[in-house]
Amino acid sequence: MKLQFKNNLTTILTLFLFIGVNNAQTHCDSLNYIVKGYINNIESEHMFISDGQVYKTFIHEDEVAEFKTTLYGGMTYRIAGSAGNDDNYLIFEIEDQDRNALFSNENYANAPYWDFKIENTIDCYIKARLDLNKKISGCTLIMIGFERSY
Amino acid sequence: MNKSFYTTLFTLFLTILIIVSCGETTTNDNINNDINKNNHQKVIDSNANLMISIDGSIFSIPSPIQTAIFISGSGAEFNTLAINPYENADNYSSDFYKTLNLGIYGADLSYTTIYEDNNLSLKYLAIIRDIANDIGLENSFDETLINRFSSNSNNKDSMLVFVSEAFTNADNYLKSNEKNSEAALILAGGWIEAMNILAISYQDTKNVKIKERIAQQKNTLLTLVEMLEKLGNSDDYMDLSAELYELYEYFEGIEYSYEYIAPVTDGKNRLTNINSKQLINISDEQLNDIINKLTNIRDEITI
Repeated sequence: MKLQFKNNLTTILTLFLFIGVNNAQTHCDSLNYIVKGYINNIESEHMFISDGQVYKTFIHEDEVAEFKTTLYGGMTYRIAGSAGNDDNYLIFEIEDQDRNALFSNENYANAPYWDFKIENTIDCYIKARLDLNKKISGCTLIMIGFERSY
Repeated sequence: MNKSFYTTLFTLFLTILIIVSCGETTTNDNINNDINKNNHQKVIDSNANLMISIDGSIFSIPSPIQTAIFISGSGAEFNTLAINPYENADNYSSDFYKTLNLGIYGADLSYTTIYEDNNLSLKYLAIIRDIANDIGLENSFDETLINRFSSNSNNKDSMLVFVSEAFTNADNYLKSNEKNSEAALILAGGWIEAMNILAISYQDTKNVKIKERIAQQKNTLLTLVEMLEKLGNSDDYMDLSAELYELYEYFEGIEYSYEYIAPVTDGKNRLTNINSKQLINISDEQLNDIINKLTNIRDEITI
């Protein structure tokens, strides 16, 4: 009886893990297509090339994902992100090397993408968090594209 | 026995229901429902350990395509000495070197594509496909990519988009399959080769803007070192990280200054102009030290 219970418990936990991972994974993969669409938006007069990386993480309430990057002078970048099918779950912000705020999409109805014309090369921080009025946890994905100009 | 079976079945059903319905949590699901919220949180925690990106840290390395575009715009001529000969691909036997050189050949492909050497580009793409096959990335660099690439050989824009998409797909695949170390290695290879192309282009032209672009790599290089240290799973990673840190030490002597200027945002066009300034003072001696060290690192990887 004890052994039977243990086997059942193991089965449940394994299934729990398997289904949980697949569910989260599938959701993150769907974000990839959504954000790619913002970068390669054919309706936009500007076309962008992805920097080849996918910045994704799972965020809980009150958590902020952050990474550092360099934006080169003379380029126009598009930063796009998503945390779900509704395009306004994600708030992203840019700060310069001294933590001066340069932009937050929160001031523009959580716009899912925004373009940045960079006059001189800067090192900056890109931060992502969920709009807690709309979502309290979930996968988030950001991509960076740069405009083709030669 | 039967009772136990039905209890298990019921628990299983309940568990699956909870996970499928609550993998993610929107606020409306949880308003005034603290008990449910707590349950959801537990479920999400179990996912989070598996989904979280790179131990909670995310790393960003600028694309080699940007560097190729920049060099082309600087007026530098194409130089075959700047790229890793495709024949060298046969020399790489371990997955570590294959993956690293996949990044290197990716940067070379960007460079040949920007300079519109289509025959050479196709050779590099074929080598990339072969290496990708060897390390389990065949889905990102398949025959369809080569066909799309070659059938658009008169459209540089499309070719660059295809290359970028293939590397983005590979990055996404690796990060989704707990292969962050391999993703880091491809980025490292791409950065090293882009730097090598910059260095050779500078030696060819003595263009001050190229010199500045090399000096601007300080923070990216530190990110690269941290990424390899954090994600590396063998001594090879640690050795490469140590070599790159030695390169980083040469950057520490360069003078950097920064002036914040308030950005200007045009909400209608979803555009922000960022006008802050970074000034760099790098001597020829510092630049030569950086180029020499970089060349040593790159030679060890590619030969």
